Amino acid sequence: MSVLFADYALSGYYDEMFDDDAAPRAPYAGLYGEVEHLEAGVFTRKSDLAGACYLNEGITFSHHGQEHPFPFDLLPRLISAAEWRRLEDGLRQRVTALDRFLSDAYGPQRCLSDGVIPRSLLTSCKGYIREMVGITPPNDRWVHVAGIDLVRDGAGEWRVLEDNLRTPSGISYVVQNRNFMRRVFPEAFAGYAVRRVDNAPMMLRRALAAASPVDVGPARIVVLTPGPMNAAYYEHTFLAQQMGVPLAEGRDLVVRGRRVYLKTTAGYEPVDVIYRRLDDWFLDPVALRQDSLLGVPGLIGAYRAGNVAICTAPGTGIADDKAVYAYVPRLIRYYLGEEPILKQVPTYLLEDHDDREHVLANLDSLVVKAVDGAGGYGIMIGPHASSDERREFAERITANPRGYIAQDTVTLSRAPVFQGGRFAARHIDLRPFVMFGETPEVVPGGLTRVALTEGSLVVNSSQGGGSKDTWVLER
Amino acid sequence: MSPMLARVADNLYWIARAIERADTYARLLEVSHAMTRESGDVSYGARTVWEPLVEITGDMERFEQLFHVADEESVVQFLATSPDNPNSITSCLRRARQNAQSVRDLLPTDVWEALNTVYLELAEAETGNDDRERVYLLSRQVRRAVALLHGLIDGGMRRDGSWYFLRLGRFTERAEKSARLLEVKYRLLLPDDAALIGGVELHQWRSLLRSAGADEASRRLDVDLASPRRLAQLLVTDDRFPRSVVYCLDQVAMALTSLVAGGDIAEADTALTLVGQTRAALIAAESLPSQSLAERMDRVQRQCNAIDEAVALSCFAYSPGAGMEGTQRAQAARQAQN
Repeated sequence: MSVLFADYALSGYYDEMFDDDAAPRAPYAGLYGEVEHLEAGVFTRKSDLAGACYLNEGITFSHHGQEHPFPFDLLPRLISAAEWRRLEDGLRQRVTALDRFLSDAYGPQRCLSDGVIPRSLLTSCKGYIREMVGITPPNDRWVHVAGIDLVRDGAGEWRVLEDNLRTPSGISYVVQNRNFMRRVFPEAFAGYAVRRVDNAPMMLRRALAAASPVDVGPARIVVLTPGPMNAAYYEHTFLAQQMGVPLAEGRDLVVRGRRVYLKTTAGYEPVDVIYRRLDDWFLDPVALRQDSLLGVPGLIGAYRAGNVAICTAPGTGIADDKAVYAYVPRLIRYYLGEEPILKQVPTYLLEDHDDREHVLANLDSLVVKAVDGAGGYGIMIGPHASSDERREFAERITANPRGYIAQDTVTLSRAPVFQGGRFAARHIDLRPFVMFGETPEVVPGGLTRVALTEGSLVVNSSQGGGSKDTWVLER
Repeated sequence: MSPMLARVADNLYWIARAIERADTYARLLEVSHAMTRESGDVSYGARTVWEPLVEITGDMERFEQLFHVADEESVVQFLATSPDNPNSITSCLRRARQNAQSVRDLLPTDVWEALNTVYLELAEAETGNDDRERVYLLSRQVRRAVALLHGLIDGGMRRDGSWYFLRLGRFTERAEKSARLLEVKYRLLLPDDAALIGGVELHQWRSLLRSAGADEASRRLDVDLASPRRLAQLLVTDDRFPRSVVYCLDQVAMALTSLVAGGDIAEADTALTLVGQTRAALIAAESLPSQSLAERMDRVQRQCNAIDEAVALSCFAYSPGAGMEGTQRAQAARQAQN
């Protein structure tokens, strides 16, 4: 191996770039050949340049109240065409089933009467919004954009780790990682045909336009943001700009006669579709949380009247609840009559007595997650937790079994990440994005997230994780 | 394309005003700095240069709360870097960046990047060197950044509502500041509008022209410095000189007319009438020497404020206002983005 990889250890994990004999896997052969000749100084310079690109364009993610450029690793993650086809099919299948489940759960509830999923599980979801029962959104579409987190386990098998349906973020980084990659590391592309990702915002726009309740004329779409204080604000501005639609805050919108309008310089202009990046409960202080200062009074009324589409639909939180996750394979079989293409991570529901006892006895080998947690918060990784943390989670589980799930610890695959002048192996995952208009479309690739700390399994950007450009190969 | 959000238009207008203001202050600081070098008399410099400089900015009251004397050190700090002065160069650029952040979707990426870069550079420099050449370096840096911004805005943006709102802000600000500069300097240099110009004052006139970016233009026009009236013409009524009051008013009128024509705003009758009246009064006053220039400029400033209010009424009436309150900010920060 070259100097850059001198200390690179496989340590028994599944490595994305190298096989067990430390030889580059087939798709990576060309890239490895390109990289191994580079001197550490060159790679450091390129990395710094990429960092400067992020800072100058102000592409930041804030955690603990501070703006940080999103750490970007220059060595791309590659996915072969054949592997991608299978992932794509699996993602389409999964999102279609979740969308059908939402329509059913807030509508006829066949899944309850047929005993596919327990009623108590459904109605106890934090994301369950009773006000949505009986509402059919335009075109009966609930999930317009989804970010499904995939991991590869120790055997190299892809598994779904979790679903993000309400306000999945990261599409902007997918597009920008590629932009900066082309700028600072053009040599890497030599000999590769890579599927393009620039079209992702227009795919989103198409999905949003398809949700419009109005048939006449082009759909009038807005992005609804909580504002510049929000961690993902950069992405909101990016998507509005790329889709060519206004970026509105709640206070820029007004409801009159059950119609939503934008407050423009020329007066009130009607709105058909709202791509919201607000939590469900904040959307409307009249119908939902009264103390919301970010929402639009009367919005849910206009939605109920069928005059506006809210994407994704309010109430979608039941379908990415981590306890419902355990039922998704059954939902796929029930709604589509197909076998699930993608595997999941074995999951224990803690309301079940036997499962709970098993989990409490094996906390040091399991991962425990709050069912409504996100961003890597409210999570305990057994093998890495202190005995105090394990005791604390045991108490929380006993007090509120419905609030948590446990899963087998997946030893996420690893990939080389450039740190301190050479490559080191770090755990990664993959978040592909599915845009669901008439049919579900998958953006080729997605956001590969990297746990920058050695040994860490937490890749969330809110926990200081970084990312890689993800290449789906044409051939 | 439908008209833009009122809040966004409001933001664009203030971005343009803030960067124009930063540019003006950078120019003023540099000229003042150069003016006082050779005089050797510190109190002369303070009285004739630094104090009037604060007056030009219209922030004397705030200045007096923060500093005891108006000398080079205090005034440079107040106008260049003071975080306590909302109109200092760094405050202006911070505000412009903040505003730009919330309209990023409408600004070309290059424009945002240029603004972000100059802001980050200045924030870095603030903690760095404290040498005297800093005034010159800072001024040059800011003026170049603003020139770059205008270049990118004018070279890259479609002439739609966004561009005209930026234009409106830029020239409203410039008209007001040009008038203020003239008022203060004329009051100081030419109390009775008729005095002869001596050696010291000649130097002052040159500096006034340089502050207004008109020094080189005046030389090419062969303007006799001994004729304040001709100078005033260049700075007030010359409709081909981009820093004259009349030129700025014409640009304001053009921006408003285009916004109405493009359907971005319903009407701008009051603002347009005010602009027209102000312009006509300035042209008429040229042949009526009875009124001192300082008085005329004082009136222009008041008119500019009235124009600003009228613009706000016809363009930003639906704007929910600038900032977010504390609770609202906290809620926004808490919204999960999975």
